[in-house]
Amino acid sequence: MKVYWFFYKQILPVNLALTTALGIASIDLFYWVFVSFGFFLSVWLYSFFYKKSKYIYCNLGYSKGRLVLGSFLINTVLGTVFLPLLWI
Amino acid sequence: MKELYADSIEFSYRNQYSLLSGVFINCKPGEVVALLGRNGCGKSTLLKILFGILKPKNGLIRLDGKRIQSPYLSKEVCYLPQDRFLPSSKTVQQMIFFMLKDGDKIEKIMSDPILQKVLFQKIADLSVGEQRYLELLLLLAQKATYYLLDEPFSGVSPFLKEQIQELILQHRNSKGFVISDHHYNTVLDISTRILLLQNGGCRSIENKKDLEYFYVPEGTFDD
Repeated sequence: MKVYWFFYKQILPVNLALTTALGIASIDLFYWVFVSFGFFLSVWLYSFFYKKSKYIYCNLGYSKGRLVLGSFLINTVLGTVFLPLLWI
Repeated sequence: MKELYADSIEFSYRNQYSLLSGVFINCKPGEVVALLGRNGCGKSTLLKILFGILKPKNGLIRLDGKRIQSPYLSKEVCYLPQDRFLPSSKTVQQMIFFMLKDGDKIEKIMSDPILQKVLFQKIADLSVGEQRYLELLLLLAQKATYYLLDEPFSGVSPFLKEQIQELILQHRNSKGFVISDHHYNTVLDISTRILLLQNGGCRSIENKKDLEYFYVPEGTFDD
């Protein structure tokens, strides 16, 4: 869990920035962008700009697919729990 | 039988000539294998294939007798890449807590005389040698048996080179190392076996005279 959370923390700021930028167009899109397009684009951007960081996770025995899946689940849970607050 | 073994490794980058053609390499715990070769001969590529993050066109990798596709997933193999891989925005202490679970190991690394001085510094502020030393210490604290070190001495000060050599020697009894480096003297000092990667294949080097014949200028090892 620690490893997924660490990876997730690296991509969260990018995801939030992307989601906010796209969410300006329509707040209804905010949740969906955050849990899908924003998440996957930020994973791709992080992997592209910090190529060497993959060795941390590989040395701990984690494949990229496993990491992305784990952090996707964290992202979905956090999105589901916190983003409804936007409408309150 | 405990061994990291690769045979008939073939690899070529897209639209390029064959970089590795039928490479055989093995490493057992207790060995320090020096992997030498000229720039661009495929040393790093071979280490990445052994680690499992690069798929060879053809070939077989066995870990402790079992055929395996991605050795790194077994947590038995660790790889130190050529370039820094720890995130520069994190501090040394944060990375120690992240990469290690065992309290004793954390305490041991935190009390290391070299790291003690830089525990609260960001990775970005460390010298190349300190970064390599930290990376190696963190990897050696993992449970892996085989270590693939890609140029661990590159850009490192003489003092830290000695410290890194010392670290490798301390762990040599229980772990196996494959080390590639251009600083062949530093690697040769601690190696138990020498392999020369040349023309897409690995050649076993029996003594320093052989190395003079195939790799370094003649007279290099004359005393």
